[in-house]
Amino acid sequence: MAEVNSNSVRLVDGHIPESWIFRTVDKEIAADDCEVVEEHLRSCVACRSVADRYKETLDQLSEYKRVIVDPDFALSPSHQLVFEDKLDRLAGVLKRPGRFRLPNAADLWRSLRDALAPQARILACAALAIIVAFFVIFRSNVPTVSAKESLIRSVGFEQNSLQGISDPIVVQKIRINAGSHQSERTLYRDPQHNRQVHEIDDSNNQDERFVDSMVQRASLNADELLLPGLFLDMSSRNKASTISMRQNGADAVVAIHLPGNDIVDAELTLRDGDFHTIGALLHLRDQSTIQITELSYHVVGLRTLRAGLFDFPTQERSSELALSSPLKPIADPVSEEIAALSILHKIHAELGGEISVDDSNPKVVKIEGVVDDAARKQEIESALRDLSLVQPYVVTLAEKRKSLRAHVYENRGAVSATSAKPLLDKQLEERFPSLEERQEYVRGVLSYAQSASSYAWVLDELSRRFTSARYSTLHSKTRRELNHLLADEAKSLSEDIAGLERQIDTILGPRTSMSAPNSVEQHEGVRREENLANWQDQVHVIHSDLDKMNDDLNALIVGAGRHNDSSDQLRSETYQLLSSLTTDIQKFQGRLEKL
Amino acid sequence: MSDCEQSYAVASDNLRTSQDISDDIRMARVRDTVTGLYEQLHQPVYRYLLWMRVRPQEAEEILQEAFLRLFSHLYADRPNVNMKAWVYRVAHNLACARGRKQKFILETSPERWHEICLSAIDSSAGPEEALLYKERWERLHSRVMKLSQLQQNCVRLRLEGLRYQEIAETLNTSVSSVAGSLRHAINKLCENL
Repeated sequence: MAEVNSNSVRLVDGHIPESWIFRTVDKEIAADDCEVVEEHLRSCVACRSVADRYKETLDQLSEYKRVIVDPDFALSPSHQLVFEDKLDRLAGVLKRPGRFRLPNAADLWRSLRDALAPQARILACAALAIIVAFFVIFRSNVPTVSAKESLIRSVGFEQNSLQGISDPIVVQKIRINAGSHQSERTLYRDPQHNRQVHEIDDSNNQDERFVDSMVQRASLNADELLLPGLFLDMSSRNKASTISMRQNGADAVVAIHLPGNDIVDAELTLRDGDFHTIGALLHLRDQSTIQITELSYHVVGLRTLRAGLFDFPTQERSSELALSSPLKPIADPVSEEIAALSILHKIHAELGGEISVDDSNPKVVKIEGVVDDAARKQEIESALRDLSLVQPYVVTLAEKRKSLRAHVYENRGAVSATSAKPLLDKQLEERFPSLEERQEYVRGVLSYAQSASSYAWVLDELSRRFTSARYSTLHSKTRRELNHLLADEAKSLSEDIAGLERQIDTILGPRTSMSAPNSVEQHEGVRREENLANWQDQVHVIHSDLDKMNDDLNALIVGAGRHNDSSDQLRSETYQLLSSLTTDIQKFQGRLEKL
Repeated sequence: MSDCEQSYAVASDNLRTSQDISDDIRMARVRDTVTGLYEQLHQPVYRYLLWMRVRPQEAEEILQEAFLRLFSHLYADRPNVNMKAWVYRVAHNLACARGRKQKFILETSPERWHEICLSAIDSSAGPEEALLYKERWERLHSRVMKLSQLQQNCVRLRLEGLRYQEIAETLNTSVSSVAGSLRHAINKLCENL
């Protein structure tokens, strides 16, 4: 065994004390001592096993920490922006000119002691005490503003708090107590656009339902529970109402008596100094009470919040997560997928195969795609960051090129140009004598057709992913979100079809000259209608009709494909397809509303 | 000295030499210091708060509040401190204050812990191996829960990479108390593991 030679480390029964071994592992002792202990550890099996056991336990604890903490919860993507926003506001408050900054108490006392004689010190302290006493008595006895004026000032508080922030959103966290039930929720209010939503922070379903039913019983909007303007209106409308004010500690309590209303009495607590409403106690006609307490109040810029916050009337996501798990929200891959698709739709990243959903692994939503540049990639990745199960694999074109062999691209070549003339070449020349105008027109038509095709493709993809059997098993909220997405895509498609119709009307001529659909075609239409048992089938028909129409349009105005057909035949078919597309999309939208 | 510690030292020096400069420049320096520290420490402090079983949303608020207080502290020319330990201490105290009200702390139910164990098990493991793995996790969890509050906090902060001195400052105790708590905690945890 090595001889221990150190001033600090002492052997006990031939071994290093456990505390020294632990400190050595943690590098918490001087380098010399550390060397001594390590040398001893090399030669002493018993001490080495203590060190090994310590390291092993630490490793297990690290793993334990990883399981319990990572990566269950991530900070919100906008946390840095929110923090900097708060920091700037705090800096603004600290820097405000003329702000009285309290000196350090010890410094103040030292200055007083040095400046004043002992007798003068006593006199100064006595004078100060008298002033403070007068101030306290005067302040508590004399009301400075009336009850109604206090409420008006409370209304004005929010207006003032919005200043200096672009697109301000009020983020207010409140707790509602109704009987023995309690619910905590975060309200997001956009006063400029008069919209609001709330997220439920933590409540079980029963509590939540009860609290909501109580709020409804009080004829209140769940998103406007602490708005003083609401109570001011109630008081103005009810001629028999009375309003009074009393002090509760430093805060003021405005009591409004509303005989005949669902809320008979409302007591609003206004914060001392700025009259901000921080609580309300509502007594309902049936003797029940609702207590609302503000937990926090912030005004942040809209950009700091997640995209699409105001898209749904009320966010129930947090509530569902809290229900499924108090520690680690277990996200549902299907709802995450739909949420991802909705986000991609909002940033126009779902079109034309730019992004596709890979379902090889059902436990994660893998989203792959190729985008133009790094900025777009970053935009997509940051938009999806909130979704825990979504794994974006987005690469830029440059990265894709690097990863592929050069010849793949070399061999591809450009899209082959057609030498054939368009079937409506003559009409095009007559209508647009200048080549540039003609090209501009063709580009315009093709742009509408491509855009419509993209939306139809997305709808078709959604219909394939959410087959009728799978659709029927979706949770009601998830289904609502999917319907919302489908309706949005259908609306965009319908707008593109309308635009396309306007464009081609100028060159295809009036519809009246076209032959009406014959009885066989009408019969075909009826038969097809009967076969469309669900929205998925309807989407397939829309997609295939749009493909056919694009082929026709290519032949008519570009000169690609189907040269054997006559221009009249194709014109007639195009109009028929346009008409049936418009009808089918309308029917699809109608069907969606009923779902 | 690690990169992180070096950057704290540089930040402290910057603030120390900023006594005679204008208020605007001083504020800008304090702001830079605080945002720099936030970038470095937000993840570990957040994880620490989550491990204290503070709800994620509350943890984010506490995290930001701690750094805002650091900003006020530094701007008010208060004595320079070990900022890392200071932030941990303020975050820890804020979390404890909220915890005392019993409103913000997550409780891990046995069912929930069962789910966590299952999610941590490697999917390729056989049933017997998975059972052993689960039992080991449950044993470790129950032992961690039986540690005193000080021991749990010392272990958490040690795993966040804090030095004994920093842990002592965070928990407002002495270095020897930290060392002792860690030793007792490890001895309790590794029994029959």
